[in-house]
Order: sequence, then C-alpha cells, then structure tokens
Amino acid sequence: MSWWSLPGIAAVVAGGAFGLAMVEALVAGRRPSPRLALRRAGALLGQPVTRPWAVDRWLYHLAPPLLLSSAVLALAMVPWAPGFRGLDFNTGAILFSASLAYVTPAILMAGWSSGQPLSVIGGFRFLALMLAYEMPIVMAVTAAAAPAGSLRPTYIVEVQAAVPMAISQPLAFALFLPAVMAVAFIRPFDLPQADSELEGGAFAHYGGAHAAIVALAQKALILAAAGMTAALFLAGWHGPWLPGWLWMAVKTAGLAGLMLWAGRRLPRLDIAALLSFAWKCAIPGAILAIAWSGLVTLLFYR
Amino acid sequence: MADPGQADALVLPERLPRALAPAVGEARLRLPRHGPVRTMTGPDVGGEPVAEVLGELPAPGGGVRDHRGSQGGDGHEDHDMMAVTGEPSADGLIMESAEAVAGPLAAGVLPTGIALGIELDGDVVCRASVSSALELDADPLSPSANRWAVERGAAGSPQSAELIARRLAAVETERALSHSAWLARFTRLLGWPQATERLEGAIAPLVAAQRRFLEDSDPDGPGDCEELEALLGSLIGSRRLARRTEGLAAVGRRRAHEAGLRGPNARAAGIETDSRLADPAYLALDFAIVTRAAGDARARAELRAEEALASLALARAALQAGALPVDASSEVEGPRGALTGSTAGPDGSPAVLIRGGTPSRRTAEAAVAGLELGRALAAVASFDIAPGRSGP
Repeated sequence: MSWWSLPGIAAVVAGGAFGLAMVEALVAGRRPSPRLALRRAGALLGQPVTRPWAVDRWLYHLAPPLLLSSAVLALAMVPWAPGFRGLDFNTGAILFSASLAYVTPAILMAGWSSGQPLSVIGGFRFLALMLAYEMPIVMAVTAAAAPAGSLRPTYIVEVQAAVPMAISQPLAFALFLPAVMAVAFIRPFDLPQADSELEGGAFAHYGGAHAAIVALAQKALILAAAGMTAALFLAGWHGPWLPGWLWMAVKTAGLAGLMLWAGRRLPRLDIAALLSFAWKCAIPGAILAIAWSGLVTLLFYR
Repeated sequence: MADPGQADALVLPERLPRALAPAVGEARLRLPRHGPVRTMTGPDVGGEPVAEVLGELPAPGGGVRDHRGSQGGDGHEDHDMMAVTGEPSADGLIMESAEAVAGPLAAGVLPTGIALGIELDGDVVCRASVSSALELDADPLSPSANRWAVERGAAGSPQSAELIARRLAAVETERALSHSAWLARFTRLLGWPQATERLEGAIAPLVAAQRRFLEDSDPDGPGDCEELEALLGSLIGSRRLARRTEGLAAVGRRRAHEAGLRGPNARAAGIETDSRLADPAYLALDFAIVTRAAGDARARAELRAEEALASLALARAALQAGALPVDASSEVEGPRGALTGSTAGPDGSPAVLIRGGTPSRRTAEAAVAGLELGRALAAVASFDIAPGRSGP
C-alpha cells in the first residue's frame, strides 16, 4: 500500500459513483446527463438534515457513515490494475467479505433508530437476508481462491490469465453475483427500503446529507460488488489489445450495468422465497462449488 | 418521495373530510419545522374548512405519531420486555404488536382516499382494515361509467342508438384505462420499474381519449395503443408476474359467491357475473365474458389485462358501428362492478347506486391475515378497491 492509495480509493468512489449514475441512466433508456446527476446530488446535499422526533440519536446519525465506511472498505479491497491494486492484503478476498458484513449492522441501526415499524421491518429483512447470503459469498470467494492458492485478490486475478473463473467455476460465479447484489440492496433485492411496500423502509427518515451518504454508499457497494466479481471471476485486468485498467473498468461497468438492468427487468423478490432459496439451494450449492473448485485445482492448477 | 420529512410544503384542498385529519396530522408532524402548509382550490371532496380541521392538530415538525411497540428515544418510555403480554403469534411467541397505516393521502398500495390499517406481529400481518376517507358513494375513478349509468337511469329519456355507441366506447375506453393504470400501480408495488414505466407511458393516449369522451368532443376512439396492447399481452402468462402473485390471496368460487364479490374480482374466481352479458348493445359487438378459475392475485391481474385488451377492441368496434341497439336497463358494468343509475338520489339529484356492502374490502381484510407484509400489501392491492364509501 502506498501513500496515494487512499486518495486513489477516494477518487474511485467519487468517480465511480458518478459513472454509475451515467450507467443507470443508460440502462433506464434515458440520455446520461452529468449536469442532472450533479444537480440531484447538490439538491440532496442542500436539503436540511431532519430528524424525526422519536429517534435514537446515536444510532440514527452513526448508521449512514458506518454504511459508507464499510462500502469504501470493500471497494478498497478490489484490485483495479497491476499498478493500482487497492489495499492488496494477503487475505484481501476474505477481508472483502468481512467489510461487507458491516453493512448489516449499519442498515439494522438505520431501521431501528427511526422508531417506526416499517423502518424496523426493513432493517430486520436485511439482517435475515445477510444471515443467509453471507455464507455463499464467503464460500464462493474460497472456491475462487483455491486455484490461486492464496486469498490475495491480485494472485487470483493473475491465475486467470488463461481461463476466467467464470468458465472454470460457473457455479461459484452464479452464486456470488446475486449474493453481492443482495448486499448492495439494489433491485430486485431492495428489501430493506422497498419504496412501494415500506415507504422507504430503513432509510425512510433520512434526508439531506444523510440521504446523500446512503446513496453514495449504495453506489460504492455496487461498484465494489461489480469490481470484485470482475477480479475474482472475469480475469480482472487481463484481456487483449486494451490496457489492463481499461479492461477492468469495462468489465466492472458491464457487471454494474447487468445488475442495474436485472433490477429494472425483474420484480422485487419475495423475502420468504429468497431465504428459502438461500438455505435450501445456495448454501448447499456453495459447498458443491468448493468441492468442484478442489477438483479443478488438483486437475489443472497443480 | 418516501417521507413527508423530505417535502418542502404540504398542499391541502380548501375543504377536508374529518376522516382524513389523522393522516394529514401525521404528515404535518413529519414536515420539517418550517415547512409551510398551503391550501389550493380543487375538486370538492366534501368535509369541513381545512382551517377548522387543522386547528385541532399539532404544529409542523412536532415529531411522529406514537404507536405501540416504539423503541426508546427522546421522551419515550422504554418498554420492559418482561411486560409483553397478549396472544401468542403463529410461531408461539408472544410479540409486541405494532400498527402501521398506508394511505389515504399517498397513492401506493391503494388509490388516494383509501386507508389501510395494519396490525403487525413482527413482519406478519395479524389484522387489516380498509376504510375510505372520501364522502362519496359513487366510484370517483369511473366518470364515464357513472354518467352513462345516470343517463340510462333517467326514466322517460331513452338514449339514441348513436349516443349508446359513443357511451359504450367511452365506458370501454375507461375500463381499459382503469385496468391499465391499476396494473401500473400494481407493478410499482411489486417493485418492477420497467413494467411500471412502460405502462405509465403507454396509457397516455387513453387518458386523452377519456377526456375527449367526457367533453363530448369528437372522439376518434382510444387512439394508438399498440404499445399498450403489446404490454398487456406480455403480462398475461408472464412468469415474472406469476412468481409474485400465484396462489396469493386465493378466493375460491364458493367463497367469492358467499362474500358477494362482483366485477373483475368475482370473474377472477370463476363467477360469470357481468351486466354486459344481458346488454343488447354489447351482444351486437359479440361481447365475450372473460373469467379465470384460480381466484388468486395472478388471476385478478391477468383478468384485468385481458379485459383491458377486450375493451380496446370493443371501443373501436362501437365507434365503427356508429349505432347500437337501445336497452331499457339502467345498469352499466363499471371497471370495478355494476353501477345502477337513478335520477332519484337522496336529495333528488342524479345518483349512481352501487349495490350494498363492500365485499372486496372485507374479502381483502380476511385474506391478508397471517401473510408477510409485502405479500399482504400485494394481496390487498390485487382487489383494486374503489376509493368511495361503498363499492364492489
């Protein structure tokens, strides 16, 4: 980690969030408008920070920064290019999952602190979802790490120079992608906020800078999810003709666009069906993915 | 906008029904401290001068309505967990219940004017109650059907064959609009933005057509509805829709009959009840009734989509025919059920009578007990409850 890693990560967060707003407009069939995106962000920041009367002050004010911190920490684990590898810890892939785990208490705090039934339900929905889907994430990461013999994200990228993990380990890829979408609580996994059901849910009572932080955190989560998926399963910066950082940007943008596109095309998923799928299919499938990963590693990577 | 706390101002009509006062009060409490309250001139929804109603309410920015089950916070008592009492819930635990209200101001699950009160045990609905805040007996969302019902009910004033053709086209256009708008609202509730946006965009020609029909200006039919027809067709049999609605709030044929369900809710349960079956004007256009057997939310949604498609065809056929057989019946099949017109209302003014009771509301209330909140809201919304005081 060098002295410019942190400013670089901050630049990725800001620039990535902006880029994601453009991708979102494209996916919705609208013309991307940088000016409109900046104006909306400015309008949100310009709104007063209002606090409902019956609220747990500490939890209410701590939840958005905690959410943003965990999102930025997850984003910091993503290796973007050979010369810009993020924090690049030896256990970076697992640290990525660990940093995502902090999203759960942040959303739970946001819902609980508001003191309203629908907000509390939003928080607890996310808790139930993450209890179920955190395991497939960790198992899929383990499956991707096995051929590399390391949990270091850059090593996992390097071992995919010939064949991406999405091809050699399709089950792990198929489980990882929807699971990280659920962590980023974007449609069709937007159960904690569920605007039409819970009237904003866990984040209903946030306005002004708080709402802006939550929006930024969600975009950072989407970016982290897409970036780490590209690194772990789509060979990261490897690719012909283009420089490595550009390949990573294209793959990340493509995955983020795919997530947003799926969110527009699919109705919100039912919480009971999601939990049932997680406990009955996703976790057993993730165990199978680890077994498959071991076999693939023995046959092709040793 | 998810929360009144994000609003800049609260805009109210000049007169407000007292039944809406609690909801307006809550919205007012959650406004930012200096959020203004403004009144506007608009349709008369009954009630008393808003200043009188608001005079009894707390000032803006005063906080949120207290409810059972609140956690600790500024000025609130902490509930002792050991003091929780009550009936055990479905999983055997005695939980502290909470109450939530959807509507009547914000159109979401239900049209504006309808309030849905929910008693929650965790995220499971124990009890629900649907009530109307509007002092109206007719269906305010069906002006063309109301007008035709009153005209037909006017004794001694038979309509001309040409007028019947225009009124039929107007009512069928309104039915297609009502069902399509309901589908847009329903897909919004299901969190399906692509379907919602496409439906909302596609119904614009019908909105314009309905206005022309109501103004009696030269109507040229529903207009170009190719995109809407394609969307409605795609929703019938859609697996994405089925995944969220199949088996939800199923009302069998017998139960629908006992509850007195009418209109699309009854037809979705397999009951062939439709005023148009006995109307020679419709029979001249080869009208065929649409029914489903399952009686669940999927059946109700698909039936409305199919009826909307049929209504567009009927509207075009009626205008093409130009003249249709006259009938002595005073009944019109509105988008939500039969309406009977009369020129002998309580004060002698024209009135539209809706056959007694509110079967859809009572059925919806009974259907949601024990359902998870999201499924319960979808179940209630699937009945397309009219916002008036009474309705099918």
